[in-house]
Amino acid sequence: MTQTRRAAGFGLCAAAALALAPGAARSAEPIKIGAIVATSGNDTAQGAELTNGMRLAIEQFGPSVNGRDIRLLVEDDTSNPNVGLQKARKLIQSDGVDIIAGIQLSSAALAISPVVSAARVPTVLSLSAANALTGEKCSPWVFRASYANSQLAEPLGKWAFEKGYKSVYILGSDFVTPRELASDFRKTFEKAGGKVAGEAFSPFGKTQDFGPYLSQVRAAAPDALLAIYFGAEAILFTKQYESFGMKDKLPMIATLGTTPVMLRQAQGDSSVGVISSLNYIPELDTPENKAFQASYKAKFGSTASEFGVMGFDSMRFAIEGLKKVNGATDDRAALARAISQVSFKGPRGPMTMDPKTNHVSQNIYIAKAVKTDGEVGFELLDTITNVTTDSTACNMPPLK
Amino acid sequence: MTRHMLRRSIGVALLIGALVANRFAGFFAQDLIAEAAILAIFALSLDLLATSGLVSFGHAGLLGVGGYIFGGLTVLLGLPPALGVLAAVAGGLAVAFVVGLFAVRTTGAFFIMVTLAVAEMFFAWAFRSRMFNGADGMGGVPRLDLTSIGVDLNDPAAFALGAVLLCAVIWALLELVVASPFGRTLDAIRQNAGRVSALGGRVFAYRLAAFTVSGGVAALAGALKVQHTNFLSPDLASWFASGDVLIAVVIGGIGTLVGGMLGAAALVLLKDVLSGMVGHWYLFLGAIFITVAIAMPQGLVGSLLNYWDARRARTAKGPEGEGA
Amino acid sequence: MDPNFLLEQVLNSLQFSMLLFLLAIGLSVVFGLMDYLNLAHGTVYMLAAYLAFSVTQAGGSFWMALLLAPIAASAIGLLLYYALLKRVEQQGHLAQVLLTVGVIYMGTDLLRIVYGDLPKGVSVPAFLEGATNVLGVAYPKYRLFIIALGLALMGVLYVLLERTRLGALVRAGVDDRDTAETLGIDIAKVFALVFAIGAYLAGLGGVVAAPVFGVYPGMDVSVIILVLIVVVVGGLGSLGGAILGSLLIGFADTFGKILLPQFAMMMIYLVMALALIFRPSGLLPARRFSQAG
Repeated sequence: MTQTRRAAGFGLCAAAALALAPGAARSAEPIKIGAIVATSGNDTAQGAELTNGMRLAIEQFGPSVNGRDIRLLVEDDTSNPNVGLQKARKLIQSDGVDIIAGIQLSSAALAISPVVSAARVPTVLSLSAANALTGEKCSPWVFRASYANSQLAEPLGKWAFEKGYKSVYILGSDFVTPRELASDFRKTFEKAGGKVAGEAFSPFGKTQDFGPYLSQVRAAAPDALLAIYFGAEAILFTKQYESFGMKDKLPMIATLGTTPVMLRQAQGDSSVGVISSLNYIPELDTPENKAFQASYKAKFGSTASEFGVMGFDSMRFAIEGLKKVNGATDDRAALARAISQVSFKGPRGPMTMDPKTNHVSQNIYIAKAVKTDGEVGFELLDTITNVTTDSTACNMPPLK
Repeated sequence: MTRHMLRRSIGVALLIGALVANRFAGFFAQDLIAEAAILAIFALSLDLLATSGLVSFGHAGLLGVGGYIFGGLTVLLGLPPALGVLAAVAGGLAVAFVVGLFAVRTTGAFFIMVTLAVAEMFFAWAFRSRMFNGADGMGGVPRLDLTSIGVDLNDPAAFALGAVLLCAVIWALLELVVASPFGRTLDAIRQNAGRVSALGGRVFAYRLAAFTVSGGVAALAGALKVQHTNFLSPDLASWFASGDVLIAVVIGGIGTLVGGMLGAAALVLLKDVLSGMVGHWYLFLGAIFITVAIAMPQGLVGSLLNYWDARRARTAKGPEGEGA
Repeated sequence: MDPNFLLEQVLNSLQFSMLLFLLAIGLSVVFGLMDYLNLAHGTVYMLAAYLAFSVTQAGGSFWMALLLAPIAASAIGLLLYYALLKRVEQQGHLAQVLLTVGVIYMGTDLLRIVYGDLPKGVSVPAFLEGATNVLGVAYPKYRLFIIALGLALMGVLYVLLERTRLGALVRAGVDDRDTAETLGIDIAKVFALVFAIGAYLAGLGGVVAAPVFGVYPGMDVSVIILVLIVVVVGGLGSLGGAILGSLLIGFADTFGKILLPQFAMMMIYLVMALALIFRPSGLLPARRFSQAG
């Protein structure tokens, strides 16, 4: 205890000495990056990982750009889009941030996008997957380093048909995200020749018992079930799917969220066998991923899931953009233009910002949850490389 | 100083405080002042209803009606915001009247649950509504255009000022309502509905009228709220929002009008300060709720007024005068 | 409708009704007896689910969790009652709402601090895993267990409330508190006992629900509204009301999802609104019951 304190004290002195040393850029103002994440409410766990990922990226790719330190200001959106919007205004108006990152809820992102565009603050979304954000509602100031719903669902539709699932029943929560994922899945699945045997959406946050839906699916006897749930509902759903004894008879396919790494303990064996379309699995066998997981574990003591990676990558996009303009943040348009041209090879694979949509093109992984040595993990079945989004939907306004 | 004078001075002090703070505060504080003023208007509407002895746990449904009417007319149909505000208030009055026709037949916990049910039905509709972009909500809600009189409401300070002034106007109007014969009958119903009914008072009609007016004011608050955030989403009508306003009124002191305004200000301030200061801030918010409930079960203003009355009774009648 | 499909949905409805019943009965009697609106009832349910998780993590069986967690929940519930809830007993519903919402906030955050933000799971005991054949329908064994447990508890509670001295005291207290007190009944003690039993049943509900619904912060809030609806539809303070209300809402929920998927969420509220229009104090309230009989 005393030793660590002494060490910390020494560190502080050293830092102070460095700061006072001639030649150090102590006069340079820090670059302020505001992060809007949930540190209370339903989305806290994802928010915590996103923040971890961002901090790790600042440590690895910063911690300063051209002598200017990067300062991260974390604001809690309390898992509520209205508060998220309020915090965005606060970061812009009171704190004068140069860049905003984070934003988990699509609804919050859709509300915030016009605000940051009007204020000319480049914003890198770390989650918010609604297609419209880099589609009809795209903005030259808003970048997305996470994924768009279509990026997950369209490859899955094609893949499912090719794997021999000719008829699929779709179940999901009744809100915009699952409906969008379902319709994107339908697009490619039906085009390939597949048939949707039925579709039902359960009241979001109000459904405890999925038995009635599972009974309906069983009666329809499709080749496979596509299940689109998130958080607590994903647990309820997979557990109930398992208890109805459907696992051996009816394969379940899913998108990111239904059987994520974060819910493994809670879902137990019920997630085993489920095939998901994902933008990241911790098991990826690449040097970039191995290095990332090792440093994440060293710093935070746990394995990073897709949320840790998305936080990490979104901050990396911001920092690489800052590097391109040598840390000059006064010319916001130049900074935004720089971010739109960033590409790198990260833990998820090759990442390229597409300046037509300001959305990242990336690999999509089709993976199956398997149990080996008592631990549930993903087994990679297929990699679909460089998946982009539909750029025709975005009529990008000029950057000015 | 009488009880009413004290109560009203608290309200006046609160409003003046808000105006002064708005003059000197930064952007973000002005944002908070506007938010508190809108919640205060909403709280006033709930407190008016409480004057008749009814407590709603679904008042956010009416807030939502106002917000969605305003958003629908201005964003989807492109009508002027002023018309949107009028339509929102009219819609709030109409919806509250229709719902009230059956809801005010129940009282107590049953009224609480009926109002909750109706609000949840509205929430369910809004959550799925394609027209309003469902759960993701809809941005781009415009603010009232007052440039003709030289005021730009897109300026946070001007908007907060407007919200506080409107809150003052609504409060003054509701004070008049409560002091009128109509208001006194409502109070009599609250104290003993059975007796009013036995004396030939039409309890149902009075309660329906109170609920209707309350609905109009709540819808006005809704139309303001979506202007403030420029954003419309079902969260507006969720039962958390109903709970928030109920808590604001209870913290401040139910049946005092001023209490609702004070509670609204306290709640907005508390949430902002706590969430900015500590992690797990709900722990502290919960502790504060518990403390207020135990120490001041009549709310801040209610308990203060009771203390005031008790002290006056003592000084008027001497130390032996207690219990009278 | 295919009869097998119908049978399956009836079983689904029953299963859900039983879970609702476990939570509703405690809330209803506390509400009916003391006119106390205890929104923190769900927090006890959540707490028990977390305790069940702890027991199974520590190597205990599901049955051990089923035995221990409700007792612990009951003890903590009673402690909560004496330390906090009792203080606003005479202050009306609103102070009770404020206080119990405070308890919900604190309870949820405390559990978050202890257990973290991620949802947890509890496994079903091995011999209740999978499905079994019921009249030609493959149905999950664990769900049948829930139905059986619910029915058994209804029986036990019937005996307890209708056939024992405690039950007579409770019913007397619900009917007319003042008279009961003048007859020398210590209503405060009866109430504490009822509170403890209610917390026990909520705890039982939490443990039983954990394997099906998962354990996560906020699981209390997601059920408390449904349970309140059950209570007001059924009528305050009566076993019959809680049973009827649970069944009505359980069936409305299940069949709403199948028959009117577009309005699944509204079905329950519609049932409630209709019930209260025609019977403004619920279908089988304790007071009306006793006046009739």
